Amino acid sequence: MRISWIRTFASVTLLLLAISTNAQNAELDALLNAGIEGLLDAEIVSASKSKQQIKDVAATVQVVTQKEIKERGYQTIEDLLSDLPGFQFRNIQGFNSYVFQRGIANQNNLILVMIDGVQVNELNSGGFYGGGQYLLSNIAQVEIVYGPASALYGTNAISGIINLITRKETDSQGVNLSSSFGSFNNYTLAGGYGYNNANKDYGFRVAGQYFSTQKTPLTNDDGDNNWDENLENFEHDVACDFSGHYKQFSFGLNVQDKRASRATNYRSTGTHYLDQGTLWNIRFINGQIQYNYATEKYLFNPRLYYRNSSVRNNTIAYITDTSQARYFRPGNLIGIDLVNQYQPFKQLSIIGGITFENENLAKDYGISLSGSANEKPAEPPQPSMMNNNLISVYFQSDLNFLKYITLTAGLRYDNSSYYGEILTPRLSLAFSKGKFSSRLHYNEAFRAPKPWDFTAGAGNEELKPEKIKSAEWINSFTFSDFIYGSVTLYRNYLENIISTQVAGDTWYWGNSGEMTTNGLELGVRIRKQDFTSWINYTYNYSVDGSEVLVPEISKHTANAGFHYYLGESLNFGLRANYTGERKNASLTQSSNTNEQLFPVIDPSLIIHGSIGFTLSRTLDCSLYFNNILDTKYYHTSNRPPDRYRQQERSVRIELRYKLR
Amino acid sequence: MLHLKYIRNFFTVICFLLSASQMAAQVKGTPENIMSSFIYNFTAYLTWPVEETKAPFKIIVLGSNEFFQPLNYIAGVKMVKGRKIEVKLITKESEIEPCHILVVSEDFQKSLLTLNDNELLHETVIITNCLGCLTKGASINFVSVNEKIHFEINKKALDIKSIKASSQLLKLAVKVI
Repeated sequence: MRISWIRTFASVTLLLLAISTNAQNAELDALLNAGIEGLLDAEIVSASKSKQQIKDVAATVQVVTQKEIKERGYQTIEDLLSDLPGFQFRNIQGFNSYVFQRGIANQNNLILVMIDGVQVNELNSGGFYGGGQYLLSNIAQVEIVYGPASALYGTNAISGIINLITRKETDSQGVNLSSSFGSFNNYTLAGGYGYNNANKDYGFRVAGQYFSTQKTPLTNDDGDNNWDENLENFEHDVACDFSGHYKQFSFGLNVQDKRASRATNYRSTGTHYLDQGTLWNIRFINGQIQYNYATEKYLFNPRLYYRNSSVRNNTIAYITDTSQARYFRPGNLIGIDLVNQYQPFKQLSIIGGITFENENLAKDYGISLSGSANEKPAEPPQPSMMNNNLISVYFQSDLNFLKYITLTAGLRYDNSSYYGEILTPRLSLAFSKGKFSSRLHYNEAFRAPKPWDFTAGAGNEELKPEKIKSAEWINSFTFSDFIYGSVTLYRNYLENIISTQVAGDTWYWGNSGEMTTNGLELGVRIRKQDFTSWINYTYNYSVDGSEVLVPEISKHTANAGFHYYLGESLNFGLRANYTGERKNASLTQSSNTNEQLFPVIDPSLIIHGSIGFTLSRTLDCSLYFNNILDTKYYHTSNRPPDRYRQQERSVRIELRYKLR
Repeated sequence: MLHLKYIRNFFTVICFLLSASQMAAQVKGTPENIMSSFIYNFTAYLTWPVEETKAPFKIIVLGSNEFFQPLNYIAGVKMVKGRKIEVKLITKESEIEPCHILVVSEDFQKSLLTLNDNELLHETVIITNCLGCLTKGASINFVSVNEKIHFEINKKALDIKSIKASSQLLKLAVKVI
């Protein structure tokens, strides 16, 4: 049996080598035929060292471009990730939804989300927010890094990183406007303007968006009778980006204001919770200013940044039969990152830097309660604040030797005033020749407890960070000029998991348990001028310390799709997402045996489609069809409603206007 | 049973995608291939002061064969305004001779100022691929913008050499000084 597999593998390898022999000349012929404007849009298949994002060398990286966002009609960050390998979701159809990368369920605090390199994870919880508050029409591309990356980014970079790169004035000048509306009162208004003066070397870009939607109807039967017909379930978001440059200086400012109902957080039927009147309002403000100094071999990028993520004081977290609860939780951070990049000779590049951060975090929510379900509470009190200082030193070097081999080694030292000292290493060995590359990575990462985790409940001063150790083997092949494939094997070991521990009548946060994930990602991408397609399959086998499958993670997920341009005026595409069976996080009582069981969420196959029309040089429109087959499917839950029904069939039309 | 149905549908989609992929041309390549194709395309948008119709159009690559291989291939299959293309690789500054285009590799970026003053290159477009090289004497410099290769133009340097760049080329440049 094994010999048969080896023979098949060898045959396929030989076939691939044969196919790639004449690739170089064919590639040049095609580039020559593209013309100068086509070349400006040419995709780089293997970037030279000077153009690589050196921070990301020792990792698997996927890129989603603005063109793909537009073609597929992504509105949320979860939409965007759903067509990539390795992602699963828990959407509770309320104020937040959760993203699981490479087989680890979490509260969004194991992935770093950044806009232009500055984190937008909420400061107080460490978790990012899913949803529609990301200004995707002003994104040039999204870079998704797989695997632990604390060696360069510090705490919370356990499963991976999502970096949204905004459009810049140098390549997005003039006016762009767009508007869309569709099923479930889903509508957006977005616009942007970019100005660049190349001669005087300055420019700016400003963009904004309003997004509003009603979510999946969960009343009565549709919501497993967890809520009644009065359930409110909405999201209204405002987002703004402002960026620019003057000679070597550049700056960026992003504001996101998310307002969503929170009624789906709790079951109302048979409880004291009500279905209407809740509002979760969180605002993120990120700003940065950067200086770029470059010589032939040395780059110096000092960057000053500010982050503010506050649950605003008009938030109504929940309403019961007897009162409303109003929350307030501010948080802000200021930091400076001194990044140095040095390339003494062609085969060696070194990146290193020092980061200083000072953050002010609310110890807990400021909460005010009203005296009845109909009365709005008074303004919540300002919560007491905690201050944290962090100093980090990081270093990574890439050494190329024997022409085809690159050794990457990195180390980061963090010293926090509340979680102490942590040393995080990474090591990578890469072989790359022609159309084939193979890389071995070893990475460690951590998630530090938040300050109040040490004192919550009975308190636990011995609380340690969660740590992950990850080994990964990535093989990628360029089968021909336009077909790219990759096979990735990985094993993650998560230890010191932070979870609630019960001690008599009280509780505390403790380190308990471990989790191991063995995974496989297979991907094939086809990219031609008029045609793009992808096929991804992911296998995750995540078990706890007792070798029991962890809840909420399916062993099998897959996605596939294509987009085709039929001439200049019409384009269309289809995409499909499959998630296999997975067990729920919360136990329910079996009606037959009275046993406590994890309910199972059935597998689902969801198909989406889109059609685009170019109406004129400045005007185009798209029609998006989501869940075309109107499949009834559910996501897992880690709270009393056992499962959450997901998006029904919907249609949306979007009009876009561009004037340069 | 449900799984089997999904798997069958999945493979149907795969087969469709693979067959549909044979339909159109591609635009992607290594950085060296993309830049070499740019260099060939630039010749249609540039006018040199003396345009001999019979002499070959000469491109010299200084220092690295990364550009020589794709440019040499282009020379075999393309012509510039009806003239054959001649590509030469040199590894020393002393080997420089008059040419239409000089492609300077990373190893010789320090020599840009002296190359710009070289009398033999007074009608030569100097092309580089490095940060800040546009102000150090390059006529055209490649830069990376959002993972795409773009170019910037030193119009003053071209003017001094009486080489005209078309307005269309200047418009496509990400930066003109």
